[in-house]
Amino acid sequence: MADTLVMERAARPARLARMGAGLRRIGKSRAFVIGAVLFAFICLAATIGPLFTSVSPNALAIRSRFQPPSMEFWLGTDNLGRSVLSRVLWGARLSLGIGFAVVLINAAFGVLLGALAGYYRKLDNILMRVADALMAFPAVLLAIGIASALGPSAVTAIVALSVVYVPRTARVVRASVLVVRELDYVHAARACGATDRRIVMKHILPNCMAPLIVQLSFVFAYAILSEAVLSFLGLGAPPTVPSWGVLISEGRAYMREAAWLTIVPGAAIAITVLGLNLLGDGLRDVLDPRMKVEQG
Amino acid sequence: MTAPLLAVDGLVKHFALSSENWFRRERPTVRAVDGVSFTLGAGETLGLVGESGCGKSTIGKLVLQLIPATAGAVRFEGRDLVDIPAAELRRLRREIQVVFQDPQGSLNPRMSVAEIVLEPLVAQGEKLTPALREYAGDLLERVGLTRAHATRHPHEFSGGQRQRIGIARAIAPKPKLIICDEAVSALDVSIQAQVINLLMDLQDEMGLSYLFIGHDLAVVRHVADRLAVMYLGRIVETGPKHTVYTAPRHPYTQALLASVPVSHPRQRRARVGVRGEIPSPLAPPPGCHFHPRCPFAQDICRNEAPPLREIAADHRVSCHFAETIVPAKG
Repeated sequence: MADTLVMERAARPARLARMGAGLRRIGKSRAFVIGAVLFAFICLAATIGPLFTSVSPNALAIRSRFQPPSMEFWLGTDNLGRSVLSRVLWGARLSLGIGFAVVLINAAFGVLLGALAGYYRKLDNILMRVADALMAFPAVLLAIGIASALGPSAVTAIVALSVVYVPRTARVVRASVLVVRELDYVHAARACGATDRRIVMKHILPNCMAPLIVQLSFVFAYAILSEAVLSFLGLGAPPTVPSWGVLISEGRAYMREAAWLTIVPGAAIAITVLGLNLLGDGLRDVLDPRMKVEQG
Repeated sequence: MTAPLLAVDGLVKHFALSSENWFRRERPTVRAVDGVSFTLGAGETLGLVGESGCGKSTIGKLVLQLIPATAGAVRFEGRDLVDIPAAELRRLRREIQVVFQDPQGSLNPRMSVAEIVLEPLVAQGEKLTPALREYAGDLLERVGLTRAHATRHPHEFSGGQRQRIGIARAIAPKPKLIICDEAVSALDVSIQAQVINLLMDLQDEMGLSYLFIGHDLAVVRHVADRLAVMYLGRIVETGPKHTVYTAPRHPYTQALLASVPVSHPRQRRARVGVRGEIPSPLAPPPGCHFHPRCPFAQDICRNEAPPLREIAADHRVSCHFAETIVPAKG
């Protein structure tokens, strides 16, 4: 007993040291650091930003319409005199929220379907042909089709974007499952009498995480971008809720007179997507063992 | 000898390849294992040797029931593993364990050494209690590691140490049979010797049987009691180690043994000429599979497959001329 306790205690510093080594390696990837900073900035703005803006995003001030950025309105006002800063910060919540929801659904269904297809070869053909059919459509076009069929709302956008991106995530998971299932430790587990469920949960999926995490970071970026497209076309969140796509759509009519109406939310989208893409690239550099060799 | 622990009878494994012509129904098949029979007694080691691609590793997988057999039986203590209910097979899996060749790929990198070693027990439904963790420490000490290693992860170990972890996992459920699939082939020669000695010590202590699959004849000679030589999916010669090594009757066995470098010049054997490459198992030659490479081949070899005949007590050879071919000696 005493021995096991000693073992447990010894395990903690070892685990911390391992995590430290992992963090140091991640820290070396410049893409990851820049991406993480950009994304953290946007997340921070979305969570605590609205608390600091005194103006409600829907507060009308007809007298101060089309104000360019000033001390009072840092990012100007729109055609109804609403604060653009306030609206962009509130919009960040919606855009990031939809993106995050799509990522969660992708993680759940992508892993489930990918694991089923990769592990049970008989299901593979059926699942992957359905995935092929869905992937044959251009992503945005399919999302527009689904969203217009279901009617515009934030939930619709989440559903449409999930249908579009789950097959792609499932593909990535399936590919790693196909590789890992042929490794000797999986054979060993089967020879021990482990159940299929145990083999998948304990032996296969934990070793498929790296490509999945990278894929999800890209899905996050694409989801935010596509949500903006849907909202711009009026298929996403209704105009009373200011998502970034809605803001661009509203500002489009006044692009010549008040360019900040489109530039500000456009920049917000660009920073978020750039940050997430850099984050994903950095993660891939760190997590992909083939890259590791090159970095030494 | 009493009833054998493992009796493999007429085992066949064909792998169907995907057809090149989409419209033609028949698909090319690889005859990886083509009617193999052997027995293995309790506490005994059977060395299974042959070139790469001869089907010896496939036999290991078939005995472990990792892949379904095309035909034949694998009897373990009299029960045919090929068609017993899945639940019973799962229970029987405790008795048959495996040590793989690649010490890198045979341990789950996400698990601690204790979890890996206890996997055969936990996978069978046992709870990971402190007592069980204690047992993991015992196992690690038994294979020459220390208790403190239990919380580490596989990447922190050398190849030889990883192979010891693999062996600890194999002996964890106190099995009766361990399949050693090229278990020492990936290790340095000095480490090979240590691991082999460990395996032999464990055999004495636990009364284990080994099916020792390998291509290094010197290693197999050291561990095996009996030997089975495979060529293109069939056993060509089998018998007690001493007989097969000193008086091989099949030309292929002779050639295989002649290829082992001998340090002492006086003990060197006469070279037996073997021409060409091992044929494709997709289209094995008719008759005796070995005839295109055999220096003694006659017409009958090209037409008739020789059965595995007993030419002396417990010494079986599949060659039409087993009696006339003299054992090659130095």
